[in-house]
Formats: sequence, structure tokens, C-alpha cells
Amino acid sequence: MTDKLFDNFIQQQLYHKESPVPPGLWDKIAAQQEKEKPALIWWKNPKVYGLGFAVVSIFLAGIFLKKQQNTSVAIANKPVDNTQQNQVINSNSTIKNIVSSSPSSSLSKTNQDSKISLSSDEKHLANSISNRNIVQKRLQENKSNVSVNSIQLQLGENNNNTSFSYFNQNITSPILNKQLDYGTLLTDNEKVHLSTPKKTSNGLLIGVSSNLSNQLGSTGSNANETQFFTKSGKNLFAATATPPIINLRKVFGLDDCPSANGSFRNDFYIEGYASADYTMKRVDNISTTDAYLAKKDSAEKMRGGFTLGVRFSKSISDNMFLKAGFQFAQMFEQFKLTTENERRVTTTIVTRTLVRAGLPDTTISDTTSLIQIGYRTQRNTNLYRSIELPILLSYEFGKQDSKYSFALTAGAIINLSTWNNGITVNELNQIVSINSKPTQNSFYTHQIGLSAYLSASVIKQLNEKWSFFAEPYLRYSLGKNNVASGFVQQFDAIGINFGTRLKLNK
Amino acid sequence: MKKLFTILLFPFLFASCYDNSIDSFELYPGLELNDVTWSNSPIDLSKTSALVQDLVLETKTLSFYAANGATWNINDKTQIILPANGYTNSSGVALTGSLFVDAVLLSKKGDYVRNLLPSTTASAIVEYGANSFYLSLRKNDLTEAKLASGSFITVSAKDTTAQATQLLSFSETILPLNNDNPLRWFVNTNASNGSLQLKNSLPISAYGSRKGFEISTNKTGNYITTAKPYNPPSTTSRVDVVMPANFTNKNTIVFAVFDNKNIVLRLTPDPSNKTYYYNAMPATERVNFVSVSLIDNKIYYGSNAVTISSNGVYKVNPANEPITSTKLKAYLDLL
Repeated sequence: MTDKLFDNFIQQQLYHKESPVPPGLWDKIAAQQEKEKPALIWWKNPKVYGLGFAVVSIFLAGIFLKKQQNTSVAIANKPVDNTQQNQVINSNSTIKNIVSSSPSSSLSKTNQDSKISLSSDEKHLANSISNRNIVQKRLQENKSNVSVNSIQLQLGENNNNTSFSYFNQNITSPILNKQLDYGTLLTDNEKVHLSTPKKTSNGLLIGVSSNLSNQLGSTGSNANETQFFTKSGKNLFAATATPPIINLRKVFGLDDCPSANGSFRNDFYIEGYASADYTMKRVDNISTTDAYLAKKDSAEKMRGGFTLGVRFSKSISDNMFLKAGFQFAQMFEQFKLTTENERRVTTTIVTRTLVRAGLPDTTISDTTSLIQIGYRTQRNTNLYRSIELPILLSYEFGKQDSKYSFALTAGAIINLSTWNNGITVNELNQIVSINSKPTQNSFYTHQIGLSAYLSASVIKQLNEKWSFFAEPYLRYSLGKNNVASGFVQQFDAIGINFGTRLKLNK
Repeated sequence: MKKLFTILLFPFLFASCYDNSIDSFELYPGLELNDVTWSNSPIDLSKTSALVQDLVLETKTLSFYAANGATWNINDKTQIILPANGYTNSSGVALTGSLFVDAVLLSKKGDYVRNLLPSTTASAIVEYGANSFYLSLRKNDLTEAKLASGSFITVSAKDTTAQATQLLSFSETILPLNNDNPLRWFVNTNASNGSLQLKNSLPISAYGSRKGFEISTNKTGNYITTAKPYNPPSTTSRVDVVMPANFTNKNTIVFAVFDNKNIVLRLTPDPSNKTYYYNAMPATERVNFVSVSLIDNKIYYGSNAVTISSNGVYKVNPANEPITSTKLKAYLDLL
């Protein structure tokens, strides 16, 4: 015997000791390799989503602003629209001045019944807007003694919507002594309106051409006002010179009267859709260890999801739609955690009969613990559910009645409520529930999330009422979907919405 | 519209009811803890040796010149006198120069558990005295030495309760040496092997009484004790000890340590009943059943103090968590 018996024993025991490869090790290595895929795979790179969203948003915003600008130009006499109008009108219109129900070549100007002479060019409604400027100018120059009944200043259309005339029906009208500006022209008793075509007593059609959106016509039913409307019933000159970017009256279909804006699409839809989603998760480390997040990441894999929703769509111009509704989104996450060297203690009741020589059999019942060591694998499908409010702006290419059309959509999805079911691993390597119930604390605390939404869709008109659409989309989380102690989770998704669209209006 | 809602509602209901939760536990193959089977054949000593190597008492060593002999006061209770000359190797060739003597002293009941030394002979229970010893001689690590015929080592061991009924006994190795055949004692009846004298004034520097035994022995490489036969106060019978499933005869040894007597019994495993038993356990004795297990190189300890009744079956439930060898030694020292 020596003093080194213990040391020798340890040495002997450890010399030929082979450590078994823990089960699941290769799975972990494979998971690690999978995680290390290059960021060039575009759908794994969140920056791509941000860039794509920015490009399409800028595109849509440009289209929208362009449309709004066009509308404003039509009102505010921007050169581009004037040119367009002039080109159309000049080609096939003549303008007449009518005084006292008779066609006249000039507007007269006197102290009481004076006329302002207009050149022939000024009579052309093709140059109506610029002409009207001239008229305004002249009226302004003579405003001290201009006495023009509003009916004197009428724009008429004849010759089947192609010919316009100024005509003066009543020379005893109140004096129009304000500056004739398109934005401020129509005030108080000096309203100048456009109206739908109307045949006058002298057989002229007064109104606008059907193929021109903002052409002018006029009618005057009384001595105090002459109103101008667009053919579609919109009050053009009642608008201000700088209308709001979004005309809520238009958006909600309240402008049923014609205006100088001309006609625009006024449709109202309800859309129901469902999508299969490819979901992705981003985890930002705030104050926990990278090792813990790596372990958590290796245990959790997003497994897609789906979205169901209903939204309302309202045209705000011929091609632009505002959409809002509610949707239910559910994401699946596969949780699989293998923990090594797990000790499982099972309490067992053992009943056995002892057979002993020379003694009667003895039955004993013993409550003992059975200890086992192994690896534990916990799998669970975690569910992340949310109710969301999409607010989207969509631009639809193609004609309204075309069989197929294409649309680009962008906007925001506001996460109204989220609840989770499942398990995860905490920093102590323990399995914890992520179930969220109002009455108990959840592993994750939820914050109202905001996601950017971007999509392109193809719409097939099934009939007058129904349409079918397919809408590949991308949503990129801008907020914090799940907040836990030490880290934040955000969810992104790409998917395809399949849905139907029902036109609610006639 | 109804179709639309039906189409949308179906996956929602399907997904809402979706549940997939699996919690599986796979045992590591080859781990001793997961092996709950009993062996029907005696277990070799590799297992218990591993346990003993960790528990065995400290060996004390003295180097001396064979020509001079030596007087070695191991402690204040024990003295060993080594004779001058009279040493040979295993072939009987005289050894000179420096030699080594190794000694292990056992005094507590826990020491016998640690060194797997039950207080039994082939047919009876013996009651230990105050001391037992292990003595061996060697020339070096490779060459064994022994006393030449007619040469004796004298051991003076203090034993204040020494009685004349105590007998000199040597440990006996039963071959094959395995888990079911532990060491046992045989009472010396051959004067050439040694002798025992009760003395009231031993030549030791102990305080107080110097009562004890003077042992003269020619045998080395054995345990030596002074034990007296045990007379059971009542009838004896078989008693069994049952343990949790993890503790089998492959990894566990069980002792019965008497409370009021210097007796340590080793229980025999019974694979058919999956128990540990002793066939001649005296009733009415207060006994502490002690289990020591070495499973996957982890030590588990359990104990249960009972008063023996005839044909009793007792439970020993070791703690689920392993303990260190230091803690186990501390537990055993308290027996």
C-alpha cells in the first residue's frame, strides 16, 4: 500500500475513459451551420425589406402626390393641365359671347351695363382658364365700375359638348367687383358654377364635354348667382386654390355634386383574404448573454403562419385606394430543446413478494424513487397570435373595367393585441411557458407593434361585383413584438394574400 | 359571401386547435444508474475496489534498517517493535539494508466499513476489540518482505476494555475474491503465527490507563484483530433490506452496524428477491443499516436505524443526490 492509492485509482480510471458524444450534438452543429448561411440570401436579410419598402413607398407616394398635384393644377391653372385642356378644346371648339341671350363677340363694359371686349382668343374655352384670367384681369382693372351680372359671365357649350361660349343673360345683375380668382371667385353672391350640360333657351348646350374632365359649362338660374360645375357634379370653383392633399369628402364619398375637379372613381369595396406566410424572427440583445440567445435561437425555428383578414377599400382617386380593416395573424414556431445529463426522478410504488427459504412469502410495498439520466427533448409548437389593424394606400394600374389590373400597396399594420402559447428556455436553461393570459405574468411582455407593409397584387375581375386578387406581400416589423428580460423579438413575414373583393356600390 | 367566410373560417379553427407538444426522455445507454438489473453471478471486486480505494484508511509507513530493527510509536495508543534482522523475501532469501513497514490502524466501526471488514468468521459473529491492524513488510515497491521463521513483530495496543476472552484473529482471503466473498476472520490457533497477552502496563506513552494487549505476530500482509465471540441475546433469523431500483448488487454494498457493540456485518445480495440479507441476525439488537453505492463514479449513501425483529424486511433509501467521499467518511466516522 502506498500513499498514492487514490491518485493511482483516479489515473487508472481516467486513462481509458472515453466520453460519449452527447446525443443531439450533430443536430446542434447542423443548426449552427444553418444559422451561418450568408446574409446574401435576400429573404434572410432584413435590410432588403427596408430597402424594398422604401422604394415602393416612394413610388406610391410619388404617384399619390402626382395625382393630387394634377387635381390642384386643374383648379389652380397649372400650365400642364391648361395645355392639356387647351389642346383638346382648341381642336374642336368655338366660343361665343352672348349678350342678352344673343351670341356676342365681346363682353361689354359700361357703368351700369358696360361690356368688356374680349378678343376672339379669349372666347375660346380651349383657353378658358387663361381666358378667364384675362377676364378676371380686365374685370379687376375695371372693378370700380364693372357691372357684370354673374349670368353675364357664363360659359356655354354647344355643338354637342364641344363648343363653349361666354354669354351674358342679364346685364342688370349685381356688380361683380371682386378679383376673379379661381380660388376665391365664388363667394357670397358672386358664385360662378359649372353644371352639367343644359340646353339654354337659344338652343345651346351649356356644360362640359364628356371627354374632358375639367371643362367648364355654366348655367344661371337667378340673377344673383351663376354656378359652375363639373359634368360629374363637382363644384369646381367652390374649391380653394390649394385643396387638401386628401380630400376627405372625396374619400368618404360625400361629394356627390359635380365640381370643377371633374369625374373620379368613387368605389367602395370589402375585401376578404387569407395568406400563407413565411415568417422570420429578429432578436435583439439588450442586456442578456450572447450564449443564451444563441441557445434560444438554436432551439426555436419559425415555421410559417397565416393571416386572415377583412378590410374595406375606398377609392380616393381614379387609381388610388385607401384600405383599412382587421386581420388575424398567427405564426408558428417550432421549439425543440435537447438538454443533456438530465436527471429524472420518478416516484414509484414497488410491490414484490420475497421468497425466502424456510420462511413464508412476504409481500412488501415500497414507495421509492427511480433515478434516470439521459437527454431530454422538449418539442412544442409555439403560437404567436395577434389582431392587427392594417392601414394601407394602394395604387391600382389599369382601367377600372379591365379584366386584369395590377396594384401596388404600402402602409402600416398596427398590432392591436397579441397573445402567445408555448414554451421557451430562460437564462437559467429552464423551460418556461410563454403563455400570455391577462391574469398572469408572461415570459414576454407585449408592446403595441407597428409593421410596414408592402405588396404587389394582381386583380382579376370576375364580374361586375366580384374580383379575385393575389397579393404577394412583405411586412417588416418596426416595433417590438415581444419584450423579454434582456432581449426583444420582432417578427417579419412574406406571404401571398389570396382574396376576393366585393364592390359595395353600384 | 358565405363561401368566403367559410373559406376563411376553416383554417382559423384548424389553427386555433393546433397543438403539438412532446416531452421525451432518452436514457443514456451504458450508464450504471440506468441499469436497474441485478446480477445473478457474483460481482467482481473491481467495483467495490474502486469504492474501497476512495475510502480506505490511510496507510502509515516506516523505513528502517533490517540489521537494527526499530521501535515505532504510531500514536499514543499503539507501538510496533520491529526485530533486528530476521527478514526474508518471498523466496526465503535474507534481506538486509533498509526495509519498509506499512501499517493501517482501525478503531471505529466506520473504519471496518471503509475497509470492507465485517466482524464475522466463517460461522459466527465476533465483536471487535479497540484496535485492529494491517501490517506488511517490503524491501521496496516491487519486492515483498516477510519475517523469517522465529522472528516476531510485537504490537502494543491500548484497550481499556480488554478482556481475556478476546482472541487473536487474522483476516482470511476467500478465493475467488469477489463482492460476495469478502474478507473474514479466523481465530489464531497456531502459536508459531503469533500470540496475545493482556497487559495492564503497556510500554506506551499513553495518558491514563495503559491497559491493552501485547500482540506477537509472525504474519504480515494480513489484518490482525483482537476479537471475542459474540453471543446473541436472542434468537437469530434472516432479515432483508430492500432498496430503490437504482441500487443493485452491481453498485451497492450494505452493512449492518450495531449500535451498542463493535460489530459490523456485511449483508449478502439476493438477486432473486433483489434484497440484501443476513441469515443470522439477532433479534432485539439496535442496528443501523448502511448502504454505500458507487454509481457512475458518484457515491450515494443511505442508512436506516432499526431494532431488529425476526425475519424483518427493512428499507434503506439513499439520498437521490450523490455525496463526496469526504462527506461519506464523515458519515461513517459517526457510526
